[in-house]
Amino acid sequence: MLVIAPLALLAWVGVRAAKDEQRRVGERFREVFEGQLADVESLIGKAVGEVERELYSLSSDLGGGTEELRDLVRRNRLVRQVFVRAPDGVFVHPPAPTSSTVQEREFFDRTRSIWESGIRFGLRAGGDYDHYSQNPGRYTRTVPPDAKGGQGSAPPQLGKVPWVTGNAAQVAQQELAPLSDPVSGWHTWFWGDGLNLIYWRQPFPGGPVFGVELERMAFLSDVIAALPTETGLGAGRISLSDARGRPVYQWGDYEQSDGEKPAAERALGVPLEMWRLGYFSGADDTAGQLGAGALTGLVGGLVAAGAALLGIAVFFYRGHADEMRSAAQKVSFVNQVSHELKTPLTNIRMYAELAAEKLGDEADADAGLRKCLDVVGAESGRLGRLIGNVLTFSKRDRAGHVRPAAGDVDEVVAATLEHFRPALAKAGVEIESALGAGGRRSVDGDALEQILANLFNNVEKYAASGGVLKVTTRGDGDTVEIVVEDRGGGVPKAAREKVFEPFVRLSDELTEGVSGTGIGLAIARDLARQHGGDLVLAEPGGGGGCRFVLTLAAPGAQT
Amino acid sequence: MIPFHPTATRAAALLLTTAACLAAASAKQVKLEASMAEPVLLAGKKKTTFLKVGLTGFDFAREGAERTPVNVAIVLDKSSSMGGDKIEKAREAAKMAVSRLDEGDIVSVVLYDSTVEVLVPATKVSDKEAIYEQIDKITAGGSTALFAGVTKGATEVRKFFDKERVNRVLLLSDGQANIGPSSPGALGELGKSLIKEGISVSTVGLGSGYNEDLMFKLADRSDGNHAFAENGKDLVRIFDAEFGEILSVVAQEVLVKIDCGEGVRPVRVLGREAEISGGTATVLLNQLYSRQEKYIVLEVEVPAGRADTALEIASVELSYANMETNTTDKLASTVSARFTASEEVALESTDKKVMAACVLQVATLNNDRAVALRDGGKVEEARQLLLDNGAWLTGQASLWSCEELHVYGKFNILNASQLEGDNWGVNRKWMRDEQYKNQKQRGY
Repeated sequence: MLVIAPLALLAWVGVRAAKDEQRRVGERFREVFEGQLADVESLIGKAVGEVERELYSLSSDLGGGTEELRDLVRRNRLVRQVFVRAPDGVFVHPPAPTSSTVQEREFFDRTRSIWESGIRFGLRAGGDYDHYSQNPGRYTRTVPPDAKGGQGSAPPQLGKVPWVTGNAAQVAQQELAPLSDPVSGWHTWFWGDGLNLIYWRQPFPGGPVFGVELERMAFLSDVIAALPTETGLGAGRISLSDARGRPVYQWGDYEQSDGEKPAAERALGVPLEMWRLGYFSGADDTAGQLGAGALTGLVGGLVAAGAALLGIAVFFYRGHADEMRSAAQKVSFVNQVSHELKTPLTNIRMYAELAAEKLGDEADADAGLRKCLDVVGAESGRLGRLIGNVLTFSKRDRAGHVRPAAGDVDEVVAATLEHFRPALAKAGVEIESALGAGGRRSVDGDALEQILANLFNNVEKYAASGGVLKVTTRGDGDTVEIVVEDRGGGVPKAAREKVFEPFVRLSDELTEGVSGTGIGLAIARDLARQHGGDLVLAEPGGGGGCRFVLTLAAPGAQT
Repeated sequence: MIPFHPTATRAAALLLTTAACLAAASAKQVKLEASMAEPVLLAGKKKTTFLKVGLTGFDFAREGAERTPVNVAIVLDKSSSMGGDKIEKAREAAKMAVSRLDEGDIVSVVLYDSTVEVLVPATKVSDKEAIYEQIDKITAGGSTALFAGVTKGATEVRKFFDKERVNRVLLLSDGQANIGPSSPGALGELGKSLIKEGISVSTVGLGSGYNEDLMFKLADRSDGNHAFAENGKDLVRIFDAEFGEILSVVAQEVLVKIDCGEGVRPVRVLGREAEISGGTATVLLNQLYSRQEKYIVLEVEVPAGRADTALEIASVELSYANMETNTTDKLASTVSARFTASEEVALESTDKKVMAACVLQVATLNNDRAVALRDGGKVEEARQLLLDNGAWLTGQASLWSCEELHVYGKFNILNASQLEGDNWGVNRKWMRDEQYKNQKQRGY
């Protein structure tokens, strides 16, 4: 009993843990997938938004003459056809069949179902709409009473010339400025082999409606062009499918089988509300296997205990691994973005420096302006270091990252300290330095700066309470030793190796309100090792805090 | 951001053109020839006849720049059906194509199966070896996301889109598109939207498995080329010829507006997309190649006229972007017909060359109609139409002394014998290939 009871308990705990784990892992996966799909949807939303903006501005700029509207159809890739509909429901454009093009007549064939259904696109009720539906396939254009000429005469100009309807009240309304929030929207309908889209807009309440029938393949092409070609997330497949569930575009390495249910799904918004995004992945199997392992544990006592322990171990391991993966994804994404950011950032720094230089020449330069530029310079420098970190991290498996050249270690240390001086001062940290590396050595100044920046950055973020940053350098034959100390909260002895693992931030308490990617120290150590040295967190001196000891292989250089 | 035809910049360019023309009247221009197939018509009868507008590209003469720089996306099908010899030849063809480019050009390589991969993002052709190395890595496998492949190809072209370059997507496919829009109509719509941006898609179908209607429509609507490569060896030849054309573009954004005279009615444009509204027909060509004639055949209905009078049939306006001077050039021409009481005079005055071109267009439409009949299961009707077409062509060939008509006549008779059995699939592809060649005056 004494043995069986705890074993049974253990087994029960194990099964519970494994089941919880299974559920948690499943949920976690779903969360990640759903997050991915949400990101994708926002890409689609952005593409649709751009289309909408373009169509909106088109409808604002148009004068409304037949030739101008036709030219729009000829020139704009998104426009298959345009229409302008008067408040009384009749079409001003396309013109009457006697003077319309084949394409314009086909437009009415395609859209007949819309007009027959009575949809009015923002028009006010009470117009004589029935003209069209009484003559399927044709329509009648009523001529404004005070306009000259019969059918097919030049249509009134929209926008440039007030709309002529013979109704004084309406004319008066048109002469008002456009509303700040004009009425516009999307209309979708099925014709041929898929979805068709109309974007419409009524610039004035009760005024004419301007509509664009989208060139749907161009629209779809724009959506696809905005989507990636890779998931950047291991084996998985994201698929965009249309109203009939047929895939339209997909990416990612995982090949889903026919009829496979996606692990996560997301419906799109207007105007693609019939379309869905699906995430396919073999992840459900992974979770299932975990559960099966725990069930075996229920059968035998000791095996159960083992399985339970295993389950718990897996529980912790998986949780940790999940976090690691999610953080790694974050960095992988940031890495891609970082490449894109580098060039503009360099430009910003360059121009900030240029501006500061120019300002320096002028005796009566505005001190406030100079301060602003200093801030721009310092902050873009900081952003540059962050980006540098991410890029270095993503390349850390590749050799040859460090390229030593003749340089002065102390100069690099002093310069880096200078960069940080304003930020440290603001955080109330005083700098003490004793630099004695001596002379020119073969060293990679950029790598050294990056290592130091990561260490100083940590002091600024986590150890400002200590009020001191102390840097000591010492040269010894072919090596230099740089010690960076603070009087902050320090790191428990047991965790001193762990801080060098990527994505580790010691305690939530400590880092509350402090953000970071969690790769700074990992990079710093990598760089130190590539530079033939090491970076360790040593036993602190009398005042507590952290004491980082950096050694680098840096033989003396001939100049 | 949707590129819009730069009316404003062109307007500025136009001012320059006017100035340039005054300074150097010798600047090279496209040759515009508008002529009637029957310049003399029988009096007293309403008549339907043809008007031909010919456009011939010039030679580049500017020193140090013998051609227009290009910006081309090579989009390759690597679905599983491309395995073996096909993919090998595709690699060879793509490398050969890249070898013809130089540093002033931009190239990208896009692969598609179930998904799309941008193998070589749009780049200047400065390191050919690096591009070859990438191309050599291509292996086959997966389904066919053709629409997405073309879209991503166009996306690469857009990165360096420039009106002063030849902006082109070259698509190779050997299979049926099965991911994304896959109908000829849908791909035609995509083509139609791309030409509005100034991007043409040339399509090459390889082997007997691809959808020739889809490939035809996509090229047709975007004014690229379409060709059938029966095997891998043909593929290399066709890529070579296609790049020959791409590298010889002398004019782009070629807009032809034909305004018919009083009482003359434009009926249809044969074999090309056109917009007809009232008495005006408008045709857009994306480009003209040097020393090569592209033409437009407009069927017109001419009202009855009195003998010994003349009638203006149409005025033709041409505007295009001259790739040598980077200006927008405009040319105009008018064409008229006379009326005679003598049937003999009317017949004798027929412009043989113009008439032959018009006959070729009519016969090509007949050939197209035969494909539609065959598709509808009306094999016998299709056969009869092809035989009639062949016989008619043979007769017309001797009337207008045109060897090309004679050859096409024989081709039609051959088509008639291959409407059924194993040969039909490949024969249909040859028919589309030839139709494209005739309708768009493909140079190879």
